[in-house]
Formats: sequence, structure tokens, C-alpha cells
Amino acid sequence: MTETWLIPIAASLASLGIYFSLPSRWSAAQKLRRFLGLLSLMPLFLFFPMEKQLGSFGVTLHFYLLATLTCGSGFMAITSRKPIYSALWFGLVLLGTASLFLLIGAQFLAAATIIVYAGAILVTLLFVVMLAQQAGASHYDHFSHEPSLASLAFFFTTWSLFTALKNTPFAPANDNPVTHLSSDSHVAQLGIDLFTDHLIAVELAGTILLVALVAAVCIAMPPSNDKPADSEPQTPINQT
Amino acid sequence: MTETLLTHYLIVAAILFSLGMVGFLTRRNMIVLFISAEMMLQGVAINLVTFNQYYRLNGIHPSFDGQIFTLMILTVAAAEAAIALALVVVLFGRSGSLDISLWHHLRDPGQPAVELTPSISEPARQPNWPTLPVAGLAPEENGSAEPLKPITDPLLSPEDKENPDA
Repeated sequence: MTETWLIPIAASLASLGIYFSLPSRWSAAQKLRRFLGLLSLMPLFLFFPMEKQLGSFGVTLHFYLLATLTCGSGFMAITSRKPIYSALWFGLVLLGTASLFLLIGAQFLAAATIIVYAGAILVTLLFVVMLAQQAGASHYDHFSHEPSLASLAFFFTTWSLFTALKNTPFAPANDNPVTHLSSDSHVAQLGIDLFTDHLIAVELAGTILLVALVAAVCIAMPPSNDKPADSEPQTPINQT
Repeated sequence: MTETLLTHYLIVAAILFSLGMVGFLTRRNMIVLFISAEMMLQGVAINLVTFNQYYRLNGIHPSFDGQIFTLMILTVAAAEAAIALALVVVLFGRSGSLDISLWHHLRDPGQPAVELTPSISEPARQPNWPTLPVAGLAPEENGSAEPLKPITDPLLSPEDKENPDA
């Protein structure tokens, strides 16, 4: 892994790029600034540990492609002016995350991410965008709330996270991993674990979903004005 | 799955989490705020799944706890999406705008008010009046239009004309 003193430099570069890419009153060269901000995330990729082999060539290639896709789409999602573009870039983040799950053999979660997030949440989000804001970017999409302080928070968060990652010793991997990803009976074992050891958690999850459904209906229902006096049709004033 | 791959995944998760945090702190559109919160959840999910697969495939801790926890996160995210989007719809119906800073004065009684910096305060909102179609008759082109007469209904009897409301 690269030197420790490089971490704050890369983090400050990235936070500067984010600061200049966020929506602000200064609207000149917006696309160029966002492109440069996207490039300024690249120094963070320097801290991928390179001293050992990542895996086979296919795993390496796909990991770098998917990591770039995920982080780049995340950056575009938070800097897009139009909320519908944010939603679509977030869809790309979800695709990248699901593919990353698939790359390490978590097949069920890859499918669940696609189905639940991209299939349900993202479509609901697009419906809300269509209902609420059809006209593209509003004036409040061209301003940010304290972008300098938020960039500072990004700087410190990435600095501390990367330093912690660099200094944490993980339990070393076995020299010959027991399981090949292809022969791993992953989904069956996950199902057995889920419905034996964690059965109560599954039931609780179902209850939470039901409660959330009822709560959403209660919140979104318009206030009822069905008083008996008001429910009568108004009599015309000029009637004799 | 090697230790190197584990650290690679954790770095991607850290970047995703930090990006979602910045988006949640800065943006003013409620939909983008929601997207940023979901992005932070994705970063956490990558962490959990990666650690679980690493320790499971290497035989250090053979269980699926991390992935089952991620499934619970997925459930909570779905519930959160339902409630948060219902709130967004209600707030949009009340203020006609998705701007979160219109609601910054919501607080408990006795709390001091937070004043926003003037750079992000509202620039002279116009009330959103409906536009009505133009009613009435257009004047004729050649200028020979007669003044409009009231339309008389031949089926109305004379006493009905005197008292048409009866």
C-alpha cells in the first residue's frame, strides 16, 4: 500500500473536487468542473494495496471496472442538478454494487439488491420525481447547503477511514481457500441459515414491512373533511 | 478470496459512504437527500457482505450472519423508502416545493431558531397561480361585428323570463 502521508493529500484533492462540483451560485463551466471533480476521486484509488495478487486476471479487470463505475456513478448522483439524473445515476451505483457482490460470490444478495433496490425503490423514486418535480432542476437544485463544511467532513471521513484500513491487520487468508466460488452451494446454505437460526428476524422483517406499509398509507392519505354538514352539496344562493 | 481483495472492497465501500454523506449534508432537494442516504446504506452493505464472504470462504468463521444482516438492511431500506417518499409527497403538497430548507424552522418548543445563511435563502418566490384559458368571444376580423345580444331561449315562457331563477 502507498505511503501514509499520501492519504491526506489524496483526500484533500478529492474533497476539493467535490467542493467545486457541487451545485453553487458559480455556474460557469459546470460540466468541466464536474469532470475534473470525477478525476479528483482517482487518487483515492491509489490506496488499493498492490503488493499481492488480487486474483485471476478476470477478477482484477472486473473489479477495477466495477469500482470505477460504482464510485463514479455515486459522485455523479450527488452532483447532478436534476433529481431524475440523480436517480438514474443511483441506479448505476446499484448495478455496480450488485456486480461487486456477484464478483465475491454473494449471489443471493446481488439478486436481492437488483430486485429490491433497482426494481422497487428506484421505480418508486422515479414515480415521486414524476409526481413532484417534472420541470427538471429547480432553483434550489442550483444551491448547496454549506458545501465547504461538507467537503471538510468528506476530507476527515476519508482520511480516518483510509488510515484505519491501512493500519488494521485482518486475519490472513488461507493459502488454499477451501471453497471455489463456483462449487459453493451458497444460496441453499444461506436459506437454511436464514430459516433456522434467524427465523425470528425474518418474521420481524415481515412485521416491519407491514407496519411501514400502514404508516405510509396513513401519512400520504389526504386529511379527510367528511363532516356531515360539508358533505351536502352546496345549495345555490339565488334559489328562492 | 484474498486479503488484498478484502481491502479493495473496503476502500470502495468507504468512498461510497463518504460520497453519500456529502450528498446528504449539502443537497437541498429531498429526493436527492433520500438517494444519498440509500448510497450510504449501500456502502455499509458492501462492508458487511465482503467481511462475511472473506471469513466464510477462508473457514475462519463459517456463517452467513453478515449477509443475513444485509438482508435486514434491505428490509429496513424498503420500509424507509415507503415512509420517506410518503413524507416527501405530503411535504410537497404543503409547500409546492421539494426544498428541504423551507422546513428548517421545525423544532421543539423552547429551542432556538436556526437561521440559514443568506446565500441559500429563497430568492423571491412567486406564488404558483394557475394559468387560465382565455374566455369569451374573439372580435371578428373585418370590424363589422355587432354588439353581442343576450341569447334568448324561445322555449322560455314570458313569466319565466321575468323570473328565471324560479
